[in-house]
Amino acid sequence: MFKATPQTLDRDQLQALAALARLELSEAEIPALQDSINQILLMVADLPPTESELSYMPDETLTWTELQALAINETAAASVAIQPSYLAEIAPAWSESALVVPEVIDQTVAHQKTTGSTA
Amino acid sequence: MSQAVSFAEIRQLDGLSLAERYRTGELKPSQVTKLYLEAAAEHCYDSQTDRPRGLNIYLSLRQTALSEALAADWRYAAGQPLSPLDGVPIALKDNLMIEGEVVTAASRYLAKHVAGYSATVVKKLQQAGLIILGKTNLDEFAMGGSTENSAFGVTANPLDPSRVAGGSSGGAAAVVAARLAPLALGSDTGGSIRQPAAFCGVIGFKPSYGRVSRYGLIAMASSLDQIGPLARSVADIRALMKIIESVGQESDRLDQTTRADWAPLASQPSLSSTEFEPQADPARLRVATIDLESSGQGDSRLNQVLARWPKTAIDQFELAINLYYLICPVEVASNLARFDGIRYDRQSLAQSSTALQSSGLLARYLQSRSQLLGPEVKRRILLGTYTSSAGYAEAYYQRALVGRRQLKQAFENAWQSVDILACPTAPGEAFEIGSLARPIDLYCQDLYTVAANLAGLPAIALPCGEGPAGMPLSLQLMAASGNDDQLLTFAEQWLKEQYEQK
Repeated sequence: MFKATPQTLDRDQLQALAALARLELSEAEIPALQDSINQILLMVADLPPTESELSYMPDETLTWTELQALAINETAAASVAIQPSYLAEIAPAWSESALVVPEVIDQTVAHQKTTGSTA
Repeated sequence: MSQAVSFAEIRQLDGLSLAERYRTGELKPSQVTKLYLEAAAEHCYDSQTDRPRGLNIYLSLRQTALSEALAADWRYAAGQPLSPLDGVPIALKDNLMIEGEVVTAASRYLAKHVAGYSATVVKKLQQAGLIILGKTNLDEFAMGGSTENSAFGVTANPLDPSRVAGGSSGGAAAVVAARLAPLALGSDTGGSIRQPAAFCGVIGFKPSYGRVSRYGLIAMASSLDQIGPLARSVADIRALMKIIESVGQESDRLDQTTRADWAPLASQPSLSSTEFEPQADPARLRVATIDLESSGQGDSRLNQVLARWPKTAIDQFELAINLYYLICPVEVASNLARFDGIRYDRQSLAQSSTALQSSGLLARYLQSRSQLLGPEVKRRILLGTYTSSAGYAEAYYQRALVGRRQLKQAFENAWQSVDILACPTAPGEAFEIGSLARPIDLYCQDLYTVAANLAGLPAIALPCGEGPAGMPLSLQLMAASGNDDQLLTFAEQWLKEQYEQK
């Protein structure tokens, strides 16, 4: 059993959350919502542990090993910068700006350069 | 129709019995439908005065039902009924869409929203000749357990109008209990068919997730929602399920929200035979009662029934309520993001609220959501937004997903040694209107029902004795995912034994 630290929302946090949820709360409804949400957060604090093979239950598609193979490598750079000369070639209009694109695009471009394919 | 048959007698008939009278010529669908519509009008929300009426069971009635029933008259006269329930009246929870007709989900937001298409279950009902009388009340967007969250007023329990009918399918349960329709369809996300069925003393069935199409159901939490029937006999439940299920062949499925690898339920009695053909021998099924930490209903008949079967533990069964109230709000926040004041009835929204006069898109978005959604809907949107937001998702939502897998696995382990699991449907009897003020007290009404939704299991609520206040108690039976047939067979046999013992 995992006991999450019971979270409570103060008035400002609730209003920030409402903005995130595209809601405008009236002054009259804030206290009741704040009180009830904090009660619910307290109620749901008891949760099972996660992030271990012991707690992992395979679903219809993936084993634990397969899931780990798909996990995002957080130590790797999420993006790479393209060399200016390279950028000038593939996107002349943008070459003056400091454009950063995800690695997958970079790899795609590299593949196209290698194969001569633009499809 | 024979004049000797009064409406008092007609409304005691279940769906299959009514159809049998149609076949013998004793009754006609049009005359039965007319009588039901007249009686229902006394308990239908009055949209002209914007006030509840009677028990406030219906939100709208369909006058087109009469012409549809006339067509059924002709089919019976020609000896060509479309199904075993052709011409039988049915009520639909008002979150199921009928093309060209208003669907409100009991929300001011959709008060004038006209559905652009029909739900798959509606198409199947129409293809089978059932007569849709009207739409029944519910908690706004199906969020709640008492219909007290309906924007159009609470539905009173027909057995004691000072008490709630349960929810969110409170209108669907009340309509069957009040005999204002022999059949109804509801939706069950965390117990919304079974709990109101328990409170009103009728039978409610939540099919396995994936047996009945969700297409055309106004979504609340898509991984949990399931449409199902309410009735007064298991035979009616089976007959209706046979019509609305969408499994197996592509031609039966109509959309992609159901399983292709499941077999349809066992055959209903054919039009010329009334023999019931169960697939499984109920006497051979292994039944166990779930070992609960929470107290039951004291020295009730329900507890006596549960005590007959050996106990078995389901890990995290009672913790499932925590998992549910983390997973469900996240899906609610996502599904209800579509209600942005632009895509749904801009004009009627403007008419509904004089304050919605801003021309700015963001202002309209914020105002429409803030002014037209009720407090329970806002609470779940806020909760779901919080528990899925960066920094908190890992602590709450992701752990809840792991817990859901563990619960599913606990059930899988249990099915190795049992076929049917039993427990109470609800912690107690129907409570008095307004008596549960705190949301978490209402949420705890779902204590025993949410696990079936989280694990995708079929579950049925069956009347079983009375509580201290004289209101019905209910037995819940569950089976492994896909074993709906086995569950219905056992439920029918169990009820038969109860009647024989009386």
